[in-house]
Amino acid sequence: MTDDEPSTPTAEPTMLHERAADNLRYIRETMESTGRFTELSGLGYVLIGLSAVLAWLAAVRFAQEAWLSVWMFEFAVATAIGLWFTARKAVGAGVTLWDRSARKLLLAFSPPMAAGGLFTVVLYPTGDVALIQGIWLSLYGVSVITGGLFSVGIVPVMGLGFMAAGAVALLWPATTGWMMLLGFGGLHGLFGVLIWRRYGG
Amino acid sequence: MARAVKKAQADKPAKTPKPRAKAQSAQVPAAELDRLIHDRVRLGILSALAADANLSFSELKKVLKVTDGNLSVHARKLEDAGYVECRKRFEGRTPRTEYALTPKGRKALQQYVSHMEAIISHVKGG
Repeated sequence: MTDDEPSTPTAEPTMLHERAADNLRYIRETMESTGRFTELSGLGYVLIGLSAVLAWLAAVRFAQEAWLSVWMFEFAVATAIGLWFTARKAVGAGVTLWDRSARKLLLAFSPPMAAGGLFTVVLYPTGDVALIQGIWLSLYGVSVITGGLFSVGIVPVMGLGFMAAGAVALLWPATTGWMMLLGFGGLHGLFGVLIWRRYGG
Repeated sequence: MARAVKKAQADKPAKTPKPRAKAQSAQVPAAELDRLIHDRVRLGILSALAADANLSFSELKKVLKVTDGNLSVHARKLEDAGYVECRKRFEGRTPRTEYALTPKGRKALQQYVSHMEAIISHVKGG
């Protein structure tokens, strides 16, 4: 042993302690990551955001009377884009799309969306567009948060953004149109880019 | 010398200052801990299966971010040791390989965790 290593006897347990802590951390992180769906496509979210901007323009500028039809069409288009790009990413990664984690995500995502659909059916006859769209933003935010718990950590953050946009829309109905653009267009685009950069397209 | 000490630690982590209380419950032979569980991929396989009762080969590969070959080799070692069991079945026409933790594997992981905790408490306790 050289002179510069007098502390080895004490350094050894310290290093072992750190290794033990690191191993326990690894076990915990692995257990947490099991069941997470990581194949969400950042590029898919960006394109969903772009399609939402087009839908917003169509609903606000050209088809105010048919706003519900426009947004229902957008919902179908966004679902198709999301599924297509997610499947594409899963195939690229050599994993199956419809695995246990995907089922968990869908199971957590669906109930608030179903509630949103029910509210739309009930409230549509009232003609209160701002209220319906505020509810859409809020419940979509809840869906993204609950579903996102089974995906990468950034997804629930996006859900919080939608809930915030929904809260603004419900509290200040005059802002609803802009919140729809900011939420479905802006948040999808922004978080799509973030997901694309961190987790791939 | 320092490198030699470090390598010895890496190769034989269980041969450490003897942990106290909890370590005494970890009666797994040190060499078995080293070979079977201390490896990162094998530790990951056991941890993932402890969290989720059944995982397919592709699900494990996704969680652990390892190659097919690497996962196969390590899963086989755990299977040979009786720590995991492997079932092959068909989903439609697609073959699917599923892994599950055996009681022996669960016990080994628990003992490994106890061992790590004992090392930490030994150092913290001075």
